[in-house]
Amino acid sequence: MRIGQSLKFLAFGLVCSMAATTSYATTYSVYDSGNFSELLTTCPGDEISRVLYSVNVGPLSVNDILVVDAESELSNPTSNNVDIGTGLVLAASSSATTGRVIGSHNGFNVTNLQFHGVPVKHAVYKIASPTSLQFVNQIVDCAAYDLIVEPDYGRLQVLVIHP
Amino acid sequence: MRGWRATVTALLGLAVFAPAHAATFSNFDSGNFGELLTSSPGDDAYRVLYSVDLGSLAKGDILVVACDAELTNHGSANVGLASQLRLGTSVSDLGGVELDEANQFLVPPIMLHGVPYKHAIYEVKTNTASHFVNFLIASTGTLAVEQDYGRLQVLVIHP
Repeated sequence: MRIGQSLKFLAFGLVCSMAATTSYATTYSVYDSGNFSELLTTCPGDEISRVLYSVNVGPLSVNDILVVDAESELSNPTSNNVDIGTGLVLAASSSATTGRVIGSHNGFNVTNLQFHGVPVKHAVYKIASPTSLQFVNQIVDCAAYDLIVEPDYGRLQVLVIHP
Repeated sequence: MRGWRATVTALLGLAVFAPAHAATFSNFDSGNFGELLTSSPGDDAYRVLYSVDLGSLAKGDILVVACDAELTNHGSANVGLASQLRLGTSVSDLGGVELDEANQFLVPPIMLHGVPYKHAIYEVKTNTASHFVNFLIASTGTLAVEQDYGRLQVLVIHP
């Protein structure tokens, strides 16, 4: 009888402790595209979006939070101003340019005087509904003239918070 | 009596199963007028513009870093401005671990002000004596560092 009661008390204790553990179970995962992780050598001047950096953050759950940083350097060897657009998407593959927009797509002109354009992208995004998407991609597009992607002058970094 | 036993058992369970990994957070800021330079000489050599001491770091700690600055070209020629975030052993360390990539752009006289904006997310991979986050700049011509027009901020997550 006493053994049975003790087992019940132990089970009760375990349930309590598991509940407490669950409430503190936030985990953090960091992903980095790393050195020389550029997926392009040039950004063709055709205004078509392409993936410059990509990281696979694995399966995501509702309420997960993504903190994303990306930067790159693209050079303008022409004598013209060249518009470069960049954005951040959560996508189905490392080559997908569409999916969930997690950072607005916007752009600026890289003047020939400035020579190098350094788009800096940042996003804080909460997974609001179930998804199978698990690639964070930085996409770029260039207008009218090609820009050169400088290798190892940028990268993509992601912190995933699993609350 | 039963309630007392249950309470003791529950507390025992908590002691055994409660996570030892409850995250803690620390915030660091170079603050107002945190610039360590008044100008960036045009020798293309890196110098530390902002620095914060994080104290000790352990394997698994996560750094979330943001930094910006404003530098002015009062000359008549284009000036290349490069910058990078690194984790070093002192406030003047130019080496250490790169937290992001060095990159640059030109500041033409007509543009006047260049504003490098740098950020990084980094997980400490091994126990390290490096605990200074340094923001490095280099320029191909003299640039004035605008005082109190930038800063370095770091969030450290101890998972």
